Amino acid sequence: MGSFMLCWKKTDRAADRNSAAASALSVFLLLALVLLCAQAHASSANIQRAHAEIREGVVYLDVDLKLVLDKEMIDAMRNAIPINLSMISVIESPRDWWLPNEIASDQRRYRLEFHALSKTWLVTDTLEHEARSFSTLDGALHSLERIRAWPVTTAKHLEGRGPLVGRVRMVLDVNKLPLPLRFPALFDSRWSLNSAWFSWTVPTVGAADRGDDL
Amino acid sequence: MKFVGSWGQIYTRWIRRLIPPISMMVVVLLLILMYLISESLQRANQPEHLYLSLLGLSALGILFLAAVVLGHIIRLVSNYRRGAPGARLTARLVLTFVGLTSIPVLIVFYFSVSFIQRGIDSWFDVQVEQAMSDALSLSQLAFDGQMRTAMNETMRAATQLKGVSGDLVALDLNAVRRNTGAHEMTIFGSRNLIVASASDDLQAIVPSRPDETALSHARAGKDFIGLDPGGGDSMRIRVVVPLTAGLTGDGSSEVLQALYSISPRANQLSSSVQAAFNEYRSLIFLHKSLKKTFTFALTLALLLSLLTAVWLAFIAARRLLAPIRELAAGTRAVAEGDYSLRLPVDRRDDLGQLVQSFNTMTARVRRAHQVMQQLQEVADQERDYLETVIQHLSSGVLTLSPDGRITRNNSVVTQLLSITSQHIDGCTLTEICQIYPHLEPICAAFGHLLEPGQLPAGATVEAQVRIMGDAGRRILLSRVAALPADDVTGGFVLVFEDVTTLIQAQRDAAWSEVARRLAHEIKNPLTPIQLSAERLRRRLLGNLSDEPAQILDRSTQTIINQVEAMKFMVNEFAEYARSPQITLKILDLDELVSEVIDLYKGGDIPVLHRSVGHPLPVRADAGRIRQVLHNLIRNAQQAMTEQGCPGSDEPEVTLSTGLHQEGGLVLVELTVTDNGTGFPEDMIDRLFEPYTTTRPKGSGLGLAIVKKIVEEHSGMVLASNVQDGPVELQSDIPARGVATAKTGARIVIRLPFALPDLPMDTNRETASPKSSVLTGSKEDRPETSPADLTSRHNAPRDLFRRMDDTRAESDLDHSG
Ligand SMILES: Nc1ncnc2c1ncn2[C@@H]1O[C@H](COP(=O)(O)OP(=O)(O)O)[C@@H](O)[C@H]1O
Ligand SMILES: [Mg+2]
Repeated sequence: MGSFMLCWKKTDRAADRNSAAASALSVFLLLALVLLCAQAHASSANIQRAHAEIREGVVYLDVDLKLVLDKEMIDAMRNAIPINLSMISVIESPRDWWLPNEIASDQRRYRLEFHALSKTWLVTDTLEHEARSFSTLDGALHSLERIRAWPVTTAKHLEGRGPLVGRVRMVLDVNKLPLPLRFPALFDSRWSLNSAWFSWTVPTVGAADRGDDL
Repeated sequence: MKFVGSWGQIYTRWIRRLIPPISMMVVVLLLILMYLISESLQRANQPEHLYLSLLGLSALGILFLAAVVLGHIIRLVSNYRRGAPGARLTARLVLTFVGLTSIPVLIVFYFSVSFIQRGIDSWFDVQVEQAMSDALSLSQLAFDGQMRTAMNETMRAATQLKGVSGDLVALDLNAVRRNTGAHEMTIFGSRNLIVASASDDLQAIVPSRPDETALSHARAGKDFIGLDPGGGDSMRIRVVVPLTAGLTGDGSSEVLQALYSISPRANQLSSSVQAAFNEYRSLIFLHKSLKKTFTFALTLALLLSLLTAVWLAFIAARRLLAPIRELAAGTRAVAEGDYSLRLPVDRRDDLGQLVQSFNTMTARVRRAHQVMQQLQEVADQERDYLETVIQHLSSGVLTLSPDGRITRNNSVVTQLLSITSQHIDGCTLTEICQIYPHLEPICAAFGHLLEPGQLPAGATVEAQVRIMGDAGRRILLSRVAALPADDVTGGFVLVFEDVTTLIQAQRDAAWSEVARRLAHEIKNPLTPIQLSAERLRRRLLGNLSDEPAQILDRSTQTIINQVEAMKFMVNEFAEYARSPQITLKILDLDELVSEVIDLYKGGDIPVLHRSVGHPLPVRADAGRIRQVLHNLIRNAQQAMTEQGCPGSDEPEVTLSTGLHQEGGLVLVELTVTDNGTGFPEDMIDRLFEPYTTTRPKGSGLGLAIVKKIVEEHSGMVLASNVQDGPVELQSDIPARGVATAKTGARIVIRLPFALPDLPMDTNRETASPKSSVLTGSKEDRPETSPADLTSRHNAPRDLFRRMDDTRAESDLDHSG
């Protein structure tokens, strides 16, 4: 230890400039680590299964996911702050040395809120204008965790594109949050409801699936 | 390496110059961003991502500013450590500026933050909160009665429908629904399949489904009633009851759901109550985040102003200190001896004046320095000149420092003392004597004088020192002088002069005086001896008988002969040792030669005279020149009678007179040639030295006297052997044109051409030429053509005038 100190002192002046940068870097890393650790017991969205199939010329996607909401988030909903979630699905053809080419993409948007008067949880498909009420939050979440027969694109669109890859993810729509929450929602793990991209296999288009007859 | 250098240059040239304006732009941009952020915080609906991108941009801007400031700080710290000029002052100025700006900014920040905290807190009131939840409860209560009737109605409908079998239910359902006043009524069978449905709204194709909780409640035999928010503003009452009572829990039992509309008025009121409640609740929930956001925005503003302040402090300090830094650098340059620096005067304030006076000062210093340098140069030149003079002195010079160490010497001293200059530099005299033992006499003479205090300044001590050098014994006249003590160096000067030859000459003079006296003393009794012998002979010879007469005759003859020989010898001695007093007169050499030759007419060996035919004026003592001629003619005659002539020719002596021109100098030349065997080769180098002779009775003084006399006449004499016939043909006087003998001795005498109008300095000592022998005659071939000589012969006056010109010119050279 003594020798180490000696050497450290010797190099002290030479490494002076670097040490400032190093300390800054270490502080940053520490911060990142803390954030990462905090994320472990916080909100999360995990896609567990995604399956697509072509029926009558339309590619239908079934997604199963697991949503865990932090107490803070539930609290916010109970205090009349709706939470907007987006399910994003993308079909792309991978390219060498370049970003993959996006062929088709679709979104589903959901709003989850607490209705104070009826004390129910409402799940609204904002694009379809379809609302369902649930007497418990679990029921509401359950309905969100099972997405069935989501028409992503037509089979015709995928024809002759070569090998394709589908991806799907769940995203918390931060911009729909009230302003004071947006900044914390960006960095707070309690608000991190973005799932990772989940790849699903795009079914090959057969002649029968073209849906010309429709 | 080169690349790095060029990059460094680019960095210092452009990036450093560009950073300030960029930073300025960044600050302005950040201010605009701050404004936009505060605007976006107030406005409810704004474009997507605007807030985030604004935030990101300002973060980037602040990072950039922070980097710039950090760079400044790092440079300042390193400058401070190095002790760069102006670093301390910059640090102090920056600290002052930062302190001046940050203290008010921090105060404002603190009060703003606390004001925001308290201001937001004051929005909320416990009573209002209670009132809000009470209002909500009240509106819930308002639906209670309606819900109870809806429940009863549905229960009734359920009992009505209970007995109806599967197919008929669909028909009855609508009637039952109308009875109960429900908006929609649906029967769910096993696995939640819709068995039948009836609706007020004909558009609705798909009936509304209850959630799992309600269904499982109903299946468990319990009734479920609740408000259903539905889509939009239309709230409904949802009632779910089991249709087949008693068959609970089997899952296959049917369930009846009825939906009752609420009056639009109630709907409107309740939704407005809920909206207000929601608003208040969300405000309460968000107030902490709101405080955080405001604080964050304020912190951002604080950071921006602080960073800008620090950055501006650096800029201001730099601008303020630029002249001071320049001054410091200038002072350092002057301290290091660079006076050429001129600082730019680009401001009119006090610092500008300071710079101005600095420039004036350096200009003065520069001028003074230049003068000093010039003086130094002059001194150097003087020293070099002195050095050259010392080196070229004929005397040997040694200079010594006050402590007796040798500082300088010239080449002559090393030659005189037979030493090497490398060995003696920095040595004391005693040390030199240890290295060179032969110099011991010098040390003995001067060693003690070089001790400090022995020799007073300016005093000189002289001594004659004999040393044995490389070239034999040398007598050195040595002088030591102590330099004045007030001189920069002080010390001593030792001067050596080689007086060996001088002393020799003095001794020679003394000896010749002795010889002259001796000769005089000897010559005086010789005449009486000779006369006495002759008288004895005259008186007694006739009176004596044969035998004694013979003895007398022989004896007196011997006496007379010996006395004669002795007389001659003594005469020659006297002649050689004679005091050099001569009377010079202008006379014609040609005429004198003819006179002398006349005396030899009728002799055994003929003496010829070859003359150019015009007068050859020389300033000479006629008697002496005559003696020279006699000596030379006699030598030739003696040599030819004793050794004979190698060729078949008759022996003869030729005297040629003429002019000799040499480098613009016209000389009168006399050549004595014979056709004998010539000078002995081994003696030719020292013919003119006294006592050099081959003859048994010879004194060896004849040629020595010749040389002496010629030199007394400022002339020169050369001896050589006649080499070859053809050489002789091309010789001095072409008029002769006769092939002579192949061998023979030749003596050439050259005397200055005398001019009547020029005063002649009689006592001038002409240095004898070093080479006494001239082998070959190419050098002394006259450059004048025969035609030239003829014209001279025809017009002697003209010749004289022309010679006068040449002489005058050459005399200048000669005397110079
Ligand atoms: N013309 C000559 N030819 C040959 N030898 C000569 C001639 N003149 C002089 N010498 C030589 O030079 C020597 C020196 O001559 P000089 O000085 O006159 O002394 P001295 O006649 O008393 O010997 C002579 O001994 C002789 O050998
Ligand atoms: Mg002689």
